[in-house]
Amino acid sequence: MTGMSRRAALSSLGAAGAAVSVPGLLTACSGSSDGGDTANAGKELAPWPAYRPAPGAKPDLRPTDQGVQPGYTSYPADLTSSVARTPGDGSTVRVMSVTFGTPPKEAAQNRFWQAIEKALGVKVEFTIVPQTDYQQKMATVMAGDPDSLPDIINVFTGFVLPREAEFVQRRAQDLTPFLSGRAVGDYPNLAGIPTHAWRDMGRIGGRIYGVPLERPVTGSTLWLNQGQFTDAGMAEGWTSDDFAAVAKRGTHGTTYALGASADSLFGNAVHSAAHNSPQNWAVDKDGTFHAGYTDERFKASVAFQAQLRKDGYYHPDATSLSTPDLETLFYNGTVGSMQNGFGAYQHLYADAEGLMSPAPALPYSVGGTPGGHVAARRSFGYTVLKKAEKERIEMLLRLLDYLAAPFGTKEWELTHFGLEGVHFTRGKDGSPQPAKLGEVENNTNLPVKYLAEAPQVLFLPGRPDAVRALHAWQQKVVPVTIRDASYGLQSRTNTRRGTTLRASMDDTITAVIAGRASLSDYDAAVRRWRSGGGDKMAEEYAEEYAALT
Amino acid sequence: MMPGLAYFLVFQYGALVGNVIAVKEYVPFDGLWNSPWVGPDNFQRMFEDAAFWDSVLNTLLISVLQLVFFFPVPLALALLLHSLTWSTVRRFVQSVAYLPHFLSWVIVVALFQQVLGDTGMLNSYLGDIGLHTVDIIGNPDAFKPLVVAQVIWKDAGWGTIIFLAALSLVDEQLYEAAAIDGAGPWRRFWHVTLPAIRPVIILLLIMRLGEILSVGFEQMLLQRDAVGPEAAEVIDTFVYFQGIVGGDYGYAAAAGLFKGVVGAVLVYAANKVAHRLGEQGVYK
Repeated sequence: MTGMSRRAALSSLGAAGAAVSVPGLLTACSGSSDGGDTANAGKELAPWPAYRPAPGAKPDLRPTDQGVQPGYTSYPADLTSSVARTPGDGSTVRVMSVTFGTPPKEAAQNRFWQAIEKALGVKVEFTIVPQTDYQQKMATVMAGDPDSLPDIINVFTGFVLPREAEFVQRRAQDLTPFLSGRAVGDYPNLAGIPTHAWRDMGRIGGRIYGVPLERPVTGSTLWLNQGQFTDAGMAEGWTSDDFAAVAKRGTHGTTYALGASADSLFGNAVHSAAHNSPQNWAVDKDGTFHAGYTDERFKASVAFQAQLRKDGYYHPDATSLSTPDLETLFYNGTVGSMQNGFGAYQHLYADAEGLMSPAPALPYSVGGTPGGHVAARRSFGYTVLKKAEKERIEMLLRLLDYLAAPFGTKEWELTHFGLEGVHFTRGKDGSPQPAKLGEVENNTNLPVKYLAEAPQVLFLPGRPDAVRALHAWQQKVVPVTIRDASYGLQSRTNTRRGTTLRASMDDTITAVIAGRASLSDYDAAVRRWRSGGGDKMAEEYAEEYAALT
Repeated sequence: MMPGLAYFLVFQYGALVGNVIAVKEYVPFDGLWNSPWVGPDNFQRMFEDAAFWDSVLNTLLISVLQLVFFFPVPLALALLLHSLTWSTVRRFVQSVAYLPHFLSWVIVVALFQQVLGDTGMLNSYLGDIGLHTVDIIGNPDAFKPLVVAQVIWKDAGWGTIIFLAALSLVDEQLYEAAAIDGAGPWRRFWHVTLPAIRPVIILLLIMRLGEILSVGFEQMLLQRDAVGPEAAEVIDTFVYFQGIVGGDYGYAAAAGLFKGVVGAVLVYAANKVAHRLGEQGVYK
């Protein structure tokens, strides 16, 4: 009970704190010559782009202010158009983004790629980086020659990139004059990106450098093989003991109840949230920052997972599987569950067709306290532009504006499903159904959706029941989401040492769960983490937090 | 002469200047000269960093294991090949022994996994006949012997080349003379073969000592995640993760410099010792 109320207090504080940043009231008090400072504290803060919802289709399942998404059980019959003219100028644009899928066919043989180029009015040279190589690839690109940077770079926030804020500040175009306040009105679809996404992306040195990719508040989710887990005795209102019992019954022979991918710490996010641990950082009433690592509930979640691992419920390759490989094991029933982003629903249901039925898990309770769920950063990543002349920047922003066209427009349909009759056909209800070619030529393989996208909605073509189930699930889970209080805040120590500090903790946590290290090794690692920069980060975040609220 | 000199100036000595970042907090976006000086900070941090010492210890352990178990294998194999008199068989065996050297580490590691892994050939067989399975791949305790076994499998054949070259230079008349004097195979080896190839063995040993802190990067990187850095982090992977992945370039440069200096000192010292023992060594 106390855990619950504390968590609730923390998350509401976090939300309130972030919602009332008053732009323009703070003026710079430090000299403007310190161009190297990425902190926002003590800087003049550029106002966030003025939010103006882009007109789209009306949902039949209502969104909530807390973060339940608008749901569409059917596809809008009349598509509107949100971009009046071709945004590009015929030039070549070099683009780089992460992907979670396999690489696409080359442009010359890829009709989706060609259709995107035609619609945007530019030639797109795409450097596509698989998720597993992303950190290394970005590190070398960032350290490389500034002239050879791509024009448009997606900075994916799922990793702590070394010196990310410094890189963006030194090498990317300052977009404040183009997007801050009313200026964003020139790009109506970018104006339709809600303030919470900009806020969680955050400013750097008080300025706006990127365009965020908005995401629902429901973050890392435990996806279940519904049949397998129901057969093993899963029921709503389950406890951590029930979870372990279900995992036991769901494991036999070469079938494992629990799957996990490399670098997910055996799916720790789901378990630490169920234990109501702070997700990375929590802030208390007097503005002090507390690290999740130092929280007993976090440690308890690690111990719980170590027991599950020891009892043999995890797939043996849980520390080395890539996400696509894990998904394959999930579909073929080798693993009964896996942690993945909530957004994975967009392909899970279709890919699992005829094999199994996926479902998001409700968090289990621990010691009588209802479990929490991870609150995602409302900005999944953000897009920065290479420094250029004003006209070029405006053109690039028009491209992003096109890609951010909302659900229910022709532009959205093109960027999400490709060409009718080529990549998709219309189902009975008018919704696009991927055709053969659409399965290999799409926005997973050619990830234009990671350059800019409209606020996401709940929609699955031809699967109204799944949409209703997800919407109902969100209503239960959104109120218990636990937000990382550091979202949108800058810490100099985090940008300098965050990557290696995090990697060292990740290694230790993985070792403890894998049974290679003990909980006292964990305590020692936390002490090293604190003295190596963790405590300093807490101070810096508190300073930022105080300045922004 | 000039092209050779230019090569060394540009790619060897010129690049050495880059080591200056070991005493800087190097920020790539600010450039080599604009990054702030931090003096010995990186070295101080390194000497206090438990993870660094773990990597040094792992490197040394693997190196010593390689020295003890790998180093003699090519020599033994070379002697065996040398004793084969039928040249067709000898050439065939030689080719087979060289071949694994040309396989990339990705393939070698995958091969070992397929054979020794949890679901690999060996364990499937043991399971089928009702025996306990063995935990080799992914077991931190088995990691070091495993990587040495991989090196032996991959490079033992390749390592015979220099020994075979040295053996071919041994005067056949010495063997004949020794045989006439009544020396058996063992005595012939001890008193003829070994003294003849001793300078080569010493030379290779000294060069190996210089590389005692390099035990192979790819091989470790590929298998590091399966057993964790406590068992598999070596200095080279430490430098990679701190520098390229972590962006802490100055710190990584400090660790790299440490490795280079230790290697140079070892070569120098080993060479001195070789001279004392009346050997030629690497250089005079």
